[in-house]
Amino acid sequence: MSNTFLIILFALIGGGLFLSFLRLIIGGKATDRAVALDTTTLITTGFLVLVAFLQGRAMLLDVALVYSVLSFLGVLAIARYLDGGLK
Amino acid sequence: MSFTSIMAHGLTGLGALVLFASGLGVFRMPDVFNKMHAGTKATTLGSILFLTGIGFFEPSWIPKLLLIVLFIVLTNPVSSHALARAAHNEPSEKPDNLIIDDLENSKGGER
Amino acid sequence: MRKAPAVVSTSVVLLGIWLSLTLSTDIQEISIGVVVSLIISISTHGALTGNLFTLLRPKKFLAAAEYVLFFLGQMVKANIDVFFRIFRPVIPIRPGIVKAKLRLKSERAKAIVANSITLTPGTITIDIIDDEIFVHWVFLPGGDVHEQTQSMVDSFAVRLEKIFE
Repeated sequence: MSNTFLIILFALIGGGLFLSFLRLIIGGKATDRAVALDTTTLITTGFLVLVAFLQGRAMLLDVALVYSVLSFLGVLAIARYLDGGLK
Repeated sequence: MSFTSIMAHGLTGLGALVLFASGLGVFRMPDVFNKMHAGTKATTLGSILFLTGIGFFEPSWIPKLLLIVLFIVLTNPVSSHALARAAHNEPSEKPDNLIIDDLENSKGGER
Repeated sequence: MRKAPAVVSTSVVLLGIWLSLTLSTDIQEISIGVVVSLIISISTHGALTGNLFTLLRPKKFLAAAEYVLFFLGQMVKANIDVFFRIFRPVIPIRPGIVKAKLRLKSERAKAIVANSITLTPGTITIDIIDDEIFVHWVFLPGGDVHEQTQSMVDSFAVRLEKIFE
């Protein structure tokens, strides 16, 4: 992987991460933030896999997997809360 | 350049571009449901392309990458579905730019 | 033992997940995986995957393969659609929620249809109430909206009916 290509990858993923995180901060309504959180965590998963590849550490793949599992559960919990709790 | 190298560069580049598009979409779209369009579709395909590309770079990681991809494809629509329902059920969260809203009409009978 | 095929297929899937997580051929790792996946699949009555052995019939296998290919094609189209929508100076939207009939019986098939619709061009599923599915369009199609939505839902439902009968 050449350096230029690496910079392009980091710029694209970092840019997406930055924009969705900006939406998470400035928000709008609560559900807007929840959607932004969902997107942010998924882009972060991709970012983690890229870092794992660069450092050659397969351990970070497990981190990415557990991170995506936990983010899924977190978003579901937020959705249930916004929906008025368990009925 | 060999075939695997071309595939690896192409897929990771395309995947990163689609992930960027999803971030931009979530930032730019005006209301919850339209944000969801960008946030769900683009992140799913972006992750698939990007992780497959990394798989071409590092063939010994393929089983684990496949597991992450499978998990993302199965769970991403579910979380967006849960959020969409929450957004529609809560009157203060619901966007007011809907041209047709059949769900509101059929809910009216139940309440 | 009516549930035996479902239990066996669930444990096979779980064992596959375990093997791709550990990536080891050590006999101890594999036997732990077999024991744990059997315990989980017996205690959940195989509810995770259901009976996958029906997919071994060539006709159903072909139907499933066709569904996956159709779905992947739709997903690529959806992303091209989202992509060209986002980079416009003014995003063209004309949102609306439209209902359609869903004639599938199996709950699993309904879930698959809802998830597929979420990942295909211009539509996400909001809710399913009994046999009605509510779809959000980012840009309502011209002409009769209900008819278009119905044909879009049916294009998935017909293909899935071949798999689930």
